[in-house]
Amino acid sequence: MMGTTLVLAPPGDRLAAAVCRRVAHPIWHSRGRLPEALGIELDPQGRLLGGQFTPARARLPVRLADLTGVLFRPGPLWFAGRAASSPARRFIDYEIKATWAAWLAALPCPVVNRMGPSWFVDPQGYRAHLAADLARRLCLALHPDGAWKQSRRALRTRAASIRSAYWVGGEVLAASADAGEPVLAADLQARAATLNQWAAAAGLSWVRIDCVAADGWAIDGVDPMPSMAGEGDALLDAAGARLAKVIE
Amino acid sequence: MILLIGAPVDPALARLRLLLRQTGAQHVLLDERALHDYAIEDRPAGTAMPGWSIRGPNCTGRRPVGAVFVRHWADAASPAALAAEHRRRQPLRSMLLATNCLVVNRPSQAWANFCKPAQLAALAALGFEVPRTLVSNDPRAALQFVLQLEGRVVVKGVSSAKTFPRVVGPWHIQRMHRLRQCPAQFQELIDGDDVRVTVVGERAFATRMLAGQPARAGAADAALPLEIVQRCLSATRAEGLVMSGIDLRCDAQGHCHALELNPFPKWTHYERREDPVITEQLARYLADNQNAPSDVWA
Repeated sequence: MMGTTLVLAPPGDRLAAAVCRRVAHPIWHSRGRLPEALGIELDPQGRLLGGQFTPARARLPVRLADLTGVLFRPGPLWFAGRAASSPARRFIDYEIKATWAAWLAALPCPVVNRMGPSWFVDPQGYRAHLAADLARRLCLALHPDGAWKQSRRALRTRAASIRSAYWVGGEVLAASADAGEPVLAADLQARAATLNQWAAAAGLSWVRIDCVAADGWAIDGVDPMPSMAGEGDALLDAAGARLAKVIE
Repeated sequence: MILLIGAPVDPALARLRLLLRQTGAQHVLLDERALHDYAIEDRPAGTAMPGWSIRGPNCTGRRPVGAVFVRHWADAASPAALAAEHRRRQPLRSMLLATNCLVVNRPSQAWANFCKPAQLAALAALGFEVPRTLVSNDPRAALQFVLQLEGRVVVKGVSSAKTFPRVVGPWHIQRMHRLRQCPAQFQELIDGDDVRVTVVGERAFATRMLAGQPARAGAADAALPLEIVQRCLSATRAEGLVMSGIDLRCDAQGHCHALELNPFPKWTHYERREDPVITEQLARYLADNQNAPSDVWA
């Protein structure tokens, strides 16, 4: 099977659907579990020697080498910890998370986003680290509490002073709520070169950037796995088109 | 001043404190077991610069801190207690993330060994040779890997959770079906001695394990080829760390394979109490690399 794009997302994910409409041979793995028959083999130089997986509801395995790109948009409960579970169950959950991270790291094709270990283990700390790093590179202030906010905050519940934009494969798109007044998007687009360097260093192609207008902009948060629940179809289409270009 | 964060009962922290006391280096301990007794404020009142003040036992919030050493202490038994501890630590984490002080090591940059296969690939990219490795939840793929390597295979965890590597034997073969519930990492068995390289700043110390016991720690460049020592230093820097513990398996000719890099090494296991060369280097590094002006007061 040649030229296959793998989409890892829960059923009904609108952004994943927008990407699937634009790529030639999408496979949509919608279960929040590791695919069956997953194997990742590294040679003594750390290169991918081989590997495959069998997607949900598929009979034949897919070779990792045949993938042209991967969209990784796990559902909100895919990695939720089981607070009341036994130590053995927690160990298994931890090992499975590490295997997801190993899989993303080993894929020899573009992955959006190729989340590293810290996202799996300490997502809040990882977002705070991203926000602090971005603020430093853009020479912007960091809003004191913003960086530690919970992820997946629906845009409709955001504070009125917050403006949001998406960094999508080298381009800035204004959040739907700010589409009529895309000042933040324009300001960020003017700093695209710095954003590109930051995103490349972080291994990200796709993030939401929240800012507060104070004396200039202050970074309020960075979400590398943004929910698109409150966004309009036009933004989803535009983002899907950009992401399809990155992973196809 | 050096700020130590952790628990005084941690043997590594206790040895470092002792040495700092002996050398007269000014330091203070933030005892994480009693974190609720401390007030950590950002942008403290009365200061022109942004920063953090720490008040509590031993901490007046007035003395400038130039370097921080952190070894988080975790004794929470339940997930709920762990979550509560995590919340209490948030101001501390915020400070460790953004302070201008030297931090050994910043926790936000110390997650690489959570995923050992990804870390192996990163070490290989720096020039280390690594064991041939398979990560799988597929019993057939695992058996095939074991057959290909004629049984010379070790099985271990994929994550940083504590597991004990074991040579694959009949017991494991009979239980391969369990991989469907929990994936595992299989690695080619490499002959040679285990060598722990502990990096502190620009210096590295090697400790060879003999029959499971650490021999005397010494300068790594006296025990290992120079290019291996340079790779250990580079790998530590590449992870954004000051200190690391790198596990190697080396044969008699000095040919080494990298196995993993630990961002919070328990170095006291790899030096002798009567000859604490690693602790001495750590104490010296913390004392000599303090940043000024400070943005933390304790």
